[in-house]
This record gives sequence, C-alpha cells and structure tokens, in this order.
Amino acid sequence: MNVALGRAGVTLGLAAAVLGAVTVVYGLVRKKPELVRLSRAYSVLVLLGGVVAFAAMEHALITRDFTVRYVYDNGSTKTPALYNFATLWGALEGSIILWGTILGGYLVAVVVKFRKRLDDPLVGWALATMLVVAGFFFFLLAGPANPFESVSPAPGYDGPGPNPLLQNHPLMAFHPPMLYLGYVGFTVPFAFAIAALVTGRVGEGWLLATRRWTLIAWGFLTVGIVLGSWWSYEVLGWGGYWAWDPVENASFMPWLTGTAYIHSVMVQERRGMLRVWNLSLLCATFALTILGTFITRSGVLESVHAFTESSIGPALLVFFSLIVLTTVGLIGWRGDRLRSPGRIDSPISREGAFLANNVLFGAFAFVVLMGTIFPLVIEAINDDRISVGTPYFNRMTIPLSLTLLFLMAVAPVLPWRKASGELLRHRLLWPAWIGAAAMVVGVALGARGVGAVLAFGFGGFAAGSAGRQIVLATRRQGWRGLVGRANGGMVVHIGVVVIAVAVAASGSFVRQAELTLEPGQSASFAGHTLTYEGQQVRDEGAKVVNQALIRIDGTGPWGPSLNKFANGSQTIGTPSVRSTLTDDVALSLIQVPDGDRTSITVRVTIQPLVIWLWIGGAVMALGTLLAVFPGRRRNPIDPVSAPLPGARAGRGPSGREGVAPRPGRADVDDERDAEEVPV
Amino acid sequence: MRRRLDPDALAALEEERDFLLRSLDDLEREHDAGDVDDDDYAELKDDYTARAATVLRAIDDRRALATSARAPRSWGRTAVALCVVAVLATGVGWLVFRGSDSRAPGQGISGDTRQDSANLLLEAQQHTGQATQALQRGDGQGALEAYKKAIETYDKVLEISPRNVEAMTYRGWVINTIATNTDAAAASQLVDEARQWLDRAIATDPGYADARVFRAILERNARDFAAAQADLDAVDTSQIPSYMQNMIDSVRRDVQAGVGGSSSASG
Repeated sequence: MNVALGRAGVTLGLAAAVLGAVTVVYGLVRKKPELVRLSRAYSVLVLLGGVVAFAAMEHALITRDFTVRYVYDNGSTKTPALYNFATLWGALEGSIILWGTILGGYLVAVVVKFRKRLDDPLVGWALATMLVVAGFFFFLLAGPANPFESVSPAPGYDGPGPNPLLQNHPLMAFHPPMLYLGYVGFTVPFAFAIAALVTGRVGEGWLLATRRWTLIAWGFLTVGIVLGSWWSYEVLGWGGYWAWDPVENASFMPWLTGTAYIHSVMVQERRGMLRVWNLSLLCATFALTILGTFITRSGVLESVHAFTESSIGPALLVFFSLIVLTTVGLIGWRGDRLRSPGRIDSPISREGAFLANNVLFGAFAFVVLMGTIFPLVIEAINDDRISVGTPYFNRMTIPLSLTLLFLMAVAPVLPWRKASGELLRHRLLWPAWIGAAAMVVGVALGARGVGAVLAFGFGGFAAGSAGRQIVLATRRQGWRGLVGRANGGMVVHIGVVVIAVAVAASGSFVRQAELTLEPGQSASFAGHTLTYEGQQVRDEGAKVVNQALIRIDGTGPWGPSLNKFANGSQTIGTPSVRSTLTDDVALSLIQVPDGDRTSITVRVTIQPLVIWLWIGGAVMALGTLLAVFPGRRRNPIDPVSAPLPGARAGRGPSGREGVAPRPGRADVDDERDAEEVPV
Repeated sequence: MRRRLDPDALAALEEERDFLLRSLDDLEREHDAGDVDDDDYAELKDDYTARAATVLRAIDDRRALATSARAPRSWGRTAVALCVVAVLATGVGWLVFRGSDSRAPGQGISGDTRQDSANLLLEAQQHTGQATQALQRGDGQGALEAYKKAIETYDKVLEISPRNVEAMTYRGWVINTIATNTDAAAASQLVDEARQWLDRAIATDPGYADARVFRAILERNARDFAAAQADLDAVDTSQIPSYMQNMIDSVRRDVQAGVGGSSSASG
C-alpha cells in the first residue's frame, strides 16, 4: 500500500507541476487570465502530491515496510522512533521527497499571498517558474531517485538503518529540514526574478513583493547552517564545529550570495541601481543550492567519474546548467532595460558600503567555491585526487571576514549618497570606544595574534554601531524600534558579532590533548581536572554503548562513548561536551579498556566561548524574525538621501525627538536613513 | 525623474500597447465578419489608434529619456574592471593550487578536521611512503618535501600527545633518513638530532622496540658496537614487527662482527 500511495503522490505532484507550468505559460502567452488563475489549483495539487508521498514514506518507515526500496535500504526495526522519522531525509531519495513537499508548501503560500494578483503576469510567470522547478524534483522522484520502488525482502529481513552518524544526536531531526526550508525558500525570489526578466518589469516592484520571502529563506538557511555545525560539534568528535568540508561549503555558498543580495537589494530599492547585480546574485544563490545538491548527492565526492553512474548526478548538472543559461540569456536579453541611470556619488555612503559589502561577500563565495570544486576539476582533467586543506580557507577567509566585520560597524551609520567626516566622527565615536574596549578586554583575557585581536576590536565596534542604531530606533519608536528590516537587521548584526567573536576565541585558544587514564586516576589539562571513574557497557538494542564516566572539575560524570551499531560495521564515537558560558570541555573516547588493559584514552578539547556560537545563531534567528515584521512606514516627506547643502532648515515633522536642529550639525543627527518602508 | 525611468512603468505601457494593437486586430476581424457596423468601426478604430499613438509616443519618450539618463558606457572602465576580476580570479586560483595537496585515503576533497594521534601517525606514514616513492623516481626534492611533511605531522602528534613514543621514534628516524641523503656536514648535525629523539623515546618507554633498533643502527654506524649490542639485547623480541626482523638480523650481524673485530684488534 505504501508503494502505491507513494507512487500516486509522486505522480500527482509531477502531473500537477508539468500541467500547471504548461497551462500557466500558455495562459500568459495567449493572454487568457482564466488559465493563469488555474495555478492556484495546480499548486494545491503539487502540495497534495508531496504530502501524500511524504506521508506514505513516513508510514512505511514507521511500520517498517521493507517492501519499499527506501525503507529496505535505510530502515531498521532497531532504529529509535525519532531517528526513524528523520530517516526520511537521511538519504538521497527521501531528501528529494522533503524538497518536493516543502516546494509544494511554498507554492501554496505564494498562491495564498498573491491570491488577488494571480492573473498579474509577474505573479503568473513566477508561479510557472516554481512549477517548473517542482516538476524537476518530482521527475527525480518518479525516475532517477525513485524511493518507492517495490522489493521483496526475505522473511525476517531487517534493514541496516540510517548511517550511524545520523542516529547519534536529536539535532538530526531538525537541521536538515531547516536547511531545506532555506534552500527551497530561495526558489520564490528566484522565480520572481525570472518573472521580472520575462515580463520586463525589472524595476523595484518584484523586489518589494519578494523581500520578506527572501528574508524568511535566508533565516531558515542561517538556522540550518548553525544547527548543522552544532550537530557536527556534538557528533563527529574531532573537537570542532566547522571543517570546510564540501557538505558545509555547499550550504555556506548560497548563504554568502544570499546575504550579499539582502544588502544590495536595498540599494536598488532606494536608488534604482545594481539591477543586473541583484538579479545575478539571486539567480546565483538559487543555482548554488542546486550545485550544492549536486556536489553532496551525486556521488561526485567519492569520485568525479562516479557521478555519471549516479542516478541523479547528470540530471542535477543539466538542471544547474539550464538555470545558468536561462538566467544569463534573460539578463542579456533585458540588458538595456537593466542599465541603471544612477551612479554611486561617493564611496563613503550607504550605497558605497553596500557595494563594498557585496564585493567582499562575492569574493568570499568565490574563494569557497574554488576551494570546493578545484579538486573536482583537477580530478576530471587528469585523474589526480587532491584535497584543498583548511589552511587555504583560513588564509583567504579570515581577512575577508575581518573586513566585513569592520564594514558592519561603519555601514549602518552612513547616510545615502555621501557622508561628511564630522558625521562619521559623531556617529562612530561610541562604537569606536566600545571596539577599543573590546580589544583591550580581549588582550587582557589572553587574546593573541592579529586576527583574534582585530576580531575582538571590530566585533566590539560593530556591536556598538548596531546597539547605537537600536537604541536610537527604540527611543524614537518604542518597541517598534526593534521590528522592521533595518532594526531587525541590527539585531542580526549583533548575532553575527557574537558568532565572530566566538569563532575567533574558540579558534585561537583551542587546547587539545590525549590523556590515558586508569580508573580513579585524575589528570589536569588547561586548568581543568579530569577524573576517570570507570567504564559502563550497555546494550541499547540499536547499539552497544561502551562509555567512560569522567568527572570534569568534580562535575558530571560526563560520558563519551564508543558505539557499536547493530547493523553497522564501524564503531562510532559519541563525544560528551560540558558547555559553560566561558568554555567547553569536549571529551572523545579514543580507546576503551580491552583485555588486560584497564586504561582509557580520551581526547580532550578545550575551547572558549563555543556556546556563544549557538547563542549568536539564536540571536540571528530572532533578528530575522523581527526583520520580517513590518517596520515603521516611512514618512513621505522624509528625505531618501542626504539633503543638499543649504537645504537644512526645513526639517519635516518627523525630526528626531522634536529636537530643533543645531546649526551645522543637522546632518550629523539625522538617522532617518535607516528607516524602511514596510514590506 | 526616477519614476519616469521606472522599468515597471515602461513594461506597463508596453502591455497597454500590445492590448491596443491586439484590439485593433480584433476590430478588423469583427468588422470583416460583419459583427461591427461601419460607424462603430470607424469610431472605435479612431479611438484605439489615438490611444495606441499616445502610448507609443510615451514609450518612445521613456526610452529616449532612459538612454539620455544613462552614463555613457565606458569601455576603458569595463576593461579595467574585467582585468581586476581576472587578476583576482587568477590569484585565488594560484592560492588554491598552492593550498592543495594529494588526497589521503578517507580524506575529503576540501577542509579537514583535527585528527587524533592514531590518524596522524597513519598520515605521517603516508608521507614517508610518498618520500620513498619520490626517491625511487630519483626526485630528491620531492622526497625531502614529503619527509618534512612527515616531521610536521609527528610534531602535531606530540603536541596533543607529548609522551607518544611512536611519534618521537619515527620523527628521529625520518631525520636520520634525511641525513643519509644530504652532504656530510649537514648529515652529522641531523644524525645528532635524530639520536636525541631516539634517546627521548627510550627514556619515555625503555621497552619500545622500534626506538631501540633504530638507535642500535645509529650506534653501529658510529661504530659504537657495544652500545648497539646493549640496545639490541634490550629489545623484547616478542614486540618486534615482522617487517623489521631482517633489518634487526642484519644489524645484529654487523654488530657482532664489529664487536669481534674490535676485541681481536684490542687482543
């Protein structure tokens, strides 16, 4: 039944997506609004198809229906309930079901949001684009990545269960869905970008229509990446949270281009500039989500030549190429209309800072892309199997990150068009003092090395700048000073600063050692005392856990373990981490007592401020949530840019706190540039 | 001005133009079919035509305005921008090339994690294996690079596990191997350094066979046969790995010959 139900869902989703795309495009070309409006029904059917497939697969997993190929390959009676549910996105085919279902959800959400504009060609083309993307993913489910193949298991058959690493921490249940909500969410602004290019409405209308969708997708991607590194830290046991491995890079690249986009889009909204750049960034972000899926799911990581044998690799590569060609073709076609009439008046201006920000984010994404695909290209050309190590990524990205941090301090206080030296001195005075203080505190606490000290300093500077904006906004608008894109954005900035400082501190001051301890023996390392109390072995059904009980500074016991999974051949370690606000002590068991040997060997990693990475991630998520809420409506008479000299006297009624402008200082206190029109 | 340059407004005008031109076509067809009488036809056609003309003029005006408002394309600036991008891309390409290395079994295509001592020791062994291959190819420089990587890897082991005798021993042995492939002046210093590492390993674990055997070889080479004999005697034969057996037998023979030779010379 599960096979039939799942196939029915996939077929329904595929048919609805293909028919929907054809019908809507036909309706748009032939100017038949009644056909275009059918997108509503088709979108609901796509979602229904996805939900049916999702439900059928979950039912098959929960009932351990081994006649379904995916359950046969990835299910097991021994897998605990939570991980059994999460098995759906633990392997390729299941993750495509999740992708299709989420895309169906976004389709219906767009239809509901734009229900009064369904026959607007912009919305129509956007929905057609989304239906094409949905069609591609349901095509994968129907053919190359079909999870609902029927198999005949031998009597008493029990599957291998998911990869042991994927049933080792509850975050596995949340991290991939968050990531996919982000990946798939970028389909919405991408679809509107394509629609804008097709209809020629490449002005600011489509941006305003999609900016909240972009923020939501970006927020989910951010949370997904942070949860992913948390999972990696808690499960992989090497003592770190980011290794620049291709899977991490695949999620990070669209985040970088997406972050660049949500900044540069403001320049287009305000000044009508950077149209080509914004369209390119958005399309690159979506294309990178597909490229990331190709890199992580096609088998290319095992061998470049394996992807041609993979069921899904060539399809993803063709789809990626199609996206790139279509986008480049459309931008070329609309090139003349996309040329902006304006230009940046001064590099010391809000738009100048956004441009610099975009160049840096673009360079960052390029550096990561090169480091990720270079080994694949070399292997494809001459069969050399090479690897690009962490030193390359660190050497290239640390200077970029520090510059971005500095820019994050300066950009929010800059007005549009141009800024005077006096204005900068006034607005940056307190943030600069906070930055200097942070640097001194960092050095006093033991920060050494240019990178770490600068990270503390620029972090304090940026936090001061963001804090100043928030204080000014809340003074002026009360609680509404916390919501809206500009104000929520400042909360996000504070989250980024927290993460940056945590990364600098934990990366610079990491201490690691391997200790061999007999039962009852204590050892001191980096100011912490570890006492090995004894060993505990227990059979949990799915795995046999060989655990060492260790007290850290008298707390605990903490229990790093080596786990032998029932259906797995390898032994998987599960670290145990004691987190405090100041530092983390992570224990990974390397060797357990065996035969005559009663000692254990444990790897101890001590890193300061790691917990602030997750706190910073939560602050970023909160900031995104605040940014999604409508902010203060901009007063129509508010200036959109720095006023011309000599035009200072006639300040409008929205003047700051009703304070009369001081002669010669009016521009210094004018903070209204930060306000945004509501979305 | 900005509103007049809005591409969305231009697109709306173009849509209206398409609608009016389509309406004119429809009107012709309906008139030909006799569905619209001549008076209505003339009135409607005039109306559509006038509106279409207005819209077409508006479109032309906006296009002309957009063209005039645009800064003239500067080919020089474009060329400079392209050059900067090309130089940066080449620079990143070169740096990524410099930052790449051959992929060890089990290693990913990018990034790496902090390894534990067991994995690092395996990695160091791979580097020494690569050095041996390079020597067989006659690539002395390649061998030296690989040996240096092996030494760096042993240092990493000793950083996290300072009492790791295997790392101390093989670090010393790699230094000795480099010494055998270098000039005499430098070799003597390197051999001394190798000896210090082996001494340190034996001091940490006197029963570690590999360190004893390697030190015996160094002592034999220095013609200190008595010391070599003492180290060989201290080796626990049950701990000797099979691949070292031939080496030990050979050293033992040399040492016995050396001890015999020196005793007969003294006698």
